[in-house]
Amino acid sequence: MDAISANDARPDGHSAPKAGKPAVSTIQFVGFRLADVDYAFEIRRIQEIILLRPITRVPQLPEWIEGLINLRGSVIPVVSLRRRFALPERPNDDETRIIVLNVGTRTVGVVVDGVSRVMKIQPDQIQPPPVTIDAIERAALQGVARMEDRLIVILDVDKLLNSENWAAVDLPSSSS
Amino acid sequence: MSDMNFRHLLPFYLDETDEQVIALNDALLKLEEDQSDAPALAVAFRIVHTIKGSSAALGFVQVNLLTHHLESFFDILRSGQCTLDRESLNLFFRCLDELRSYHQQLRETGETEVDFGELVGLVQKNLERVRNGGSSSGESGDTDAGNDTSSVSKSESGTKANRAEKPSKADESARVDVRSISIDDTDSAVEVVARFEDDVPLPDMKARLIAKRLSALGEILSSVPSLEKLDDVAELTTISFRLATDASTEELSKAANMSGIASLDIRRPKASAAAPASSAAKPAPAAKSPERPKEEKRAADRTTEMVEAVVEPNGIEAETPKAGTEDKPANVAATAETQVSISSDQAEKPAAPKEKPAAKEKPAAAGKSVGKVGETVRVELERLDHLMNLTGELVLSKSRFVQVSAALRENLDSPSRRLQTSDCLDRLAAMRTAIEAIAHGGTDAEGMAHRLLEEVGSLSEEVESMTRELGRARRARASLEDLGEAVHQLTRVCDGLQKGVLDTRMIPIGPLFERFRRVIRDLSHATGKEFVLKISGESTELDKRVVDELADPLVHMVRNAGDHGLESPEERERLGKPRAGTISLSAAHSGDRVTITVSDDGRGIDPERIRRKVVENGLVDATTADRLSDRELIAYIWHAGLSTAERLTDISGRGVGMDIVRSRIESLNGTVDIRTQVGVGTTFIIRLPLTLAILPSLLVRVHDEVYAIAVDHIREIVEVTEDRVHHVHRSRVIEIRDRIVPIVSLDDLFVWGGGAYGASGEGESRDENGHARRVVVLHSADEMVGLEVDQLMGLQEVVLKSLDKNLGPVDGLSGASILGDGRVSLILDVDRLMEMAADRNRPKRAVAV
Repeated sequence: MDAISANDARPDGHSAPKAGKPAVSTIQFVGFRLADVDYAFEIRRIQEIILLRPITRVPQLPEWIEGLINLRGSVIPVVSLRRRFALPERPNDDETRIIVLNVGTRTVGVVVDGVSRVMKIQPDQIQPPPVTIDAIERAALQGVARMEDRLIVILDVDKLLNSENWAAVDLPSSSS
Repeated sequence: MSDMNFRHLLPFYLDETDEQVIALNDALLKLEEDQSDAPALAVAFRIVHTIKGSSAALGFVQVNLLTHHLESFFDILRSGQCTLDRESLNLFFRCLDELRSYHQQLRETGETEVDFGELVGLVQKNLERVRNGGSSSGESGDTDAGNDTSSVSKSESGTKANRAEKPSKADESARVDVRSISIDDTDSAVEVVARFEDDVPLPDMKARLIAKRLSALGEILSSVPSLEKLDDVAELTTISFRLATDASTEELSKAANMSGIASLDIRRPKASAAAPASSAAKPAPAAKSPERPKEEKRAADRTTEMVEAVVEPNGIEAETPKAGTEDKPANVAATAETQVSISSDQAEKPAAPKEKPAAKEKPAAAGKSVGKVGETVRVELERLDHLMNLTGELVLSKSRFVQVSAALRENLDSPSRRLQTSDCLDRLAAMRTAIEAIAHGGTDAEGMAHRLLEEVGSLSEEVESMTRELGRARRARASLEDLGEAVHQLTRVCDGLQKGVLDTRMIPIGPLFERFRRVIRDLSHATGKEFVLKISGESTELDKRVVDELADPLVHMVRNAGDHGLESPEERERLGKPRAGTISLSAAHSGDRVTITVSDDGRGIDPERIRRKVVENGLVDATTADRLSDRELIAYIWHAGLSTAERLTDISGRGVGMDIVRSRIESLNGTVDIRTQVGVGTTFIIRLPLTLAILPSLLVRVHDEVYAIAVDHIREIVEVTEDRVHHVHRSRVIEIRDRIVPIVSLDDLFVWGGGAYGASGEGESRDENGHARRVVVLHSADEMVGLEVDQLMGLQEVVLKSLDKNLGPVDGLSGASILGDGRVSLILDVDRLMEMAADRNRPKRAVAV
């Protein structure tokens, strides 16, 4: 949560010009970076943002599941979005964070390169994702929004993380 | 069931029945709305049946009788032979009310003499009427019912009034106390107070003698001080008995009087009613010895203590002592006793201070009094789960404390640094003298030496302050000892708490076993066979969740035994066995596991028959089948393909299959074995952990991760060198005491996201290493597999966390746990791992053969 509150100040400055518009329809997002691309999750889906902590690897799972962490006594899985989107690997650094999301009844962590800021986006600012993106990945994208000079990729938490049974899905061929 | 278990099981019975009565009420209300509500009827039937069963088990004949007839009634209604009418419904409600008050009374007093005889007659009559479809006789039946119940409730309220009578004499709010202190306090009790002469030798002996003589005349309800505690009473001056007796005052006084008795006071009940106020106010004028107030104050304190221990301080307590304290403090204690034995006050008064231990005796004596049923609270299992989780957390933080304090100690513990500084100081001092020597040499050197001296001086000061710092560190180390002690204490409390929380989840398996009487009865009807059900170990306690989960598998196993295991009566006679087949259910503790067996004395499992079946059902080809051992064949009864095919009768076919039975038990971290002998019988042995929440485990490290293996699945741990590993058909085996055990590594069994672990071929290099490997030999049923690990980390009780909640089931893992350092470790599912190990080899073998 620290990360959010720390960044809270900044968006105010950024979104000041838009503050005049009716706030009713705007949705708040938390932006984060992944391989120099800006992504965002809807803020109400985020439970908290935590520092990276030791992750226990788990077998029999798709590679994009990094493993399990201990979140105050709960054992929650952590997903590597880099691997999920087949982006090149990169060592974790001080900026690396785990965004803890509520997905249905589950609590799931997502490793990102860094959390940027909270932003307000109006639904009409969001455009459908470009068709050139791989169909499977596109399903997880809610759309693309322009924020000043940058394009923000907005992710659909449910489509991204709510597969019914991860252990059964995407298992490498040698599972038999 | 024997009387032995009666008291023990009563609270459970009462709780269960209360719940059932509430549910029955709901069902009846539903029926009232819609009299053809079939599900509600079924529920009502089931409830009545359950109450019937449990009441029979505990010997409540009246309840049993009533519910038996109600059950028949509901059964007929259920079968649609006749319809429920208002009259019957009213009667049901009446029965319900009677059942409720019966159990209420039972809970309060521990016994009840309510007779359902007439009510039962009514139910029977009504049943007849409904059967005949007429309503004329019902009219009279209904009025009968009215009379009857009113008479029952009259006698009921009579007893209630009786009970209420006593408290009302004193104070309404005192009721709870009075009851809990002495239930057997009847108004007919006679008070016999004997005061001993001063310095009489062996007063306790005399007291016992009096008790013996009095007990010949009646029943001693209680005594002050209690007879058991006589030895603890420092100076016995008075003893008072409360007697239930018909003997006259003369007889009593004759019996109690003996040498050494100063006065004897026999009090009839009437006196007691009038006594309290006056006696409390009446001071004992004599004996105002100087040390008395102190004594009394202490006594009064003690009394307060006692009162607080009893449910609630009450009106009489709060007021009368006040009246007493005004003129005489001694009465504080004395009046406190009025609630128990009012009339004893006066007699005790002269000896009040010395008598005080008696005040302490009271609750103890009361605790022993018969009747009061141990109170229980029903708690949602979820809350207990939550508590369990919190306790788990606490245990974790505790182990972190332990680690931190160990680390602190290690870091603070450096006595050498102290030496170092003192050495420094010495050297500085030496330098100083040397420089001083130089200073006396030349003039130029003098200035230089002075500067140096200053330098050295400030250095020494610094070092001195360092020494002081070290002194503080040393003191810190002493506090560290305290911390260690506190942590130790915390550990103790934690462990106790954990155990306590676990204990709250434990329930006896008895009620579950009792259900099988019904199962057996049904089975007997359906098959025409005769059965005897033997139950043992019903007081064995298990985690509630385990008991709940166990119900279905057990039902299936029992049905199976009755349906397939046992022969028909004729066949049994021909075989020289008793006509009735025996099915036994037993439970017993063994270490931290519970063993439950289901056995029958039937025909046993014939391996040859299974051999035919497995071939018929295409599970195995004929040649392979021929080579299977008996043990391997029998293991096929767990196979889904076999069990469902063979067991399509209407009895055991409709429940769960044997394969489900096994997977259910395994999901409880349990195992199930079969022992069978053709013609003699079959025994299923289920071994279960006491609780699901905590798993004693061995922690092992493989690569960078720590895994937990349930200790129950570990046979032994061996170290083998590479040259002792043999290769048999590409599977590696070792020999342990002439038994060949395959060994596997987790790398062989697990598939890691993206390929091998760490994708670096680390596993391979480990293989090349010729030195000793640690192999944990796992066992499940009769199979053994060795698992290679990199390091043994030690034994630990781990708190099981399900992966299902946030992740989902993972093949080969039964959960996760959080280690002392806060990291997550994975708990290996040994049964599954062994299957995986077998599966892994199977295709290879197929290629090779």
